[in-house]
Amino acid sequence: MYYVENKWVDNNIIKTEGYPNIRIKAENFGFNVPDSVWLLPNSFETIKEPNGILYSADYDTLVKLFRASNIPCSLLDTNFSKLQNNSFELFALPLIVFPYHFLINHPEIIIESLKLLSDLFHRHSKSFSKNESSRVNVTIIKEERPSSFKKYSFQGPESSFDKFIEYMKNEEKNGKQADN
Amino acid sequence: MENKQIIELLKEKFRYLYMTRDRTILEEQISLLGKVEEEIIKTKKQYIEEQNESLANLWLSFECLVIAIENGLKMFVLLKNGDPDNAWNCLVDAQNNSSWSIRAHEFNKEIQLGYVSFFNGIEKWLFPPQTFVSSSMVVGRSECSICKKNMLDCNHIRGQCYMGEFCSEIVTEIKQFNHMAFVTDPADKKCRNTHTGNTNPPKLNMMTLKMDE
Repeated sequence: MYYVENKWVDNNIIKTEGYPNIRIKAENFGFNVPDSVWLLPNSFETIKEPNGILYSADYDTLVKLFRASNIPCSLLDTNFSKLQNNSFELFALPLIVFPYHFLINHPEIIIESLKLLSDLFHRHSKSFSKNESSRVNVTIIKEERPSSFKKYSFQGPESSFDKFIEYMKNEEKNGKQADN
Repeated sequence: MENKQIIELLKEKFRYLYMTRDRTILEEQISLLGKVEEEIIKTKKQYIEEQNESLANLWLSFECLVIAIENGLKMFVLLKNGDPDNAWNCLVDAQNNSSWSIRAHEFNKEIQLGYVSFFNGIEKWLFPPQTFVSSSMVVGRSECSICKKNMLDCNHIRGQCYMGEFCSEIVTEIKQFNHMAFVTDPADKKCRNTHTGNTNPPKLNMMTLKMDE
């Protein structure tokens, strides 16, 4: 069991919770944790067999986004299929995992990645008026210490996504202070 | 045609988008806009040849908005002709194209967002609420509409505009149909429940509430 903390910022929910040791899970499936941002299928922690792995529809968009900004990024494998839902979602994103060793050498990477997402969301929702801002759903997993993971998720309108970036900046600041 | 002329024309066409307008006048406007669209496409192609991405995207944006207005006019003609099902399809095309116009290039956000809001309003005021459907499938392979490479291998981002063209994803292998769902916010508003009833006619038309044979 993991603790869950819900924070409401205006109408958006920012959720923080513990997350299982996916390092062990990945290794049991025959995958190694990369020294890069790691994109995983949603609910990777509950997948029972590696055969049934399906990525979310926009995992490739994220790969391209990171590639264009020279941010190293890895998938479990490039041969998995993806699940395409035709209901409206601005983007159906995978889990974005930041492994510990990568974070140590790239401490700004979480904020940098979230800013890239913010730009992408902004570009794609220009045609929405303020009253009907499109909703986004982003989940990141941070390996805070070796094999100790924490999940942060944001659900809310695109126009409020920057509040999640601010929240993560504060988390980073508080984490650094605690380490000192 | 100059940019300024196009923008004035786009502003001016707003006055025809009313149900009370005479059908012959609406049809005249549709044919007139068809000619404007052809001219816009010619200019856009010229900029593509010159590899001027910014202007190619600007003219794509004009093209989208002209198509949106054409579809808005067609919608009123079809409603007058008693064909609300096809009028709905025109409305969806008008909504999509007015949104795409902004995504391609923001040349005048007031006019562009004005059309987006207008067509969204028309949906609420002229049509009954719809039951939308959405399919879910497992995609094995898809390619980029611009460079035809595997979607993972190129750098074009779906929905973004490159040299006067939108990048879209072409699914080339569907591995499995997963499910169909009723949704309130579909990706494609043309996917909707049109009739209810038995497999054989007559069926109840959800738009007119008439039994269709």
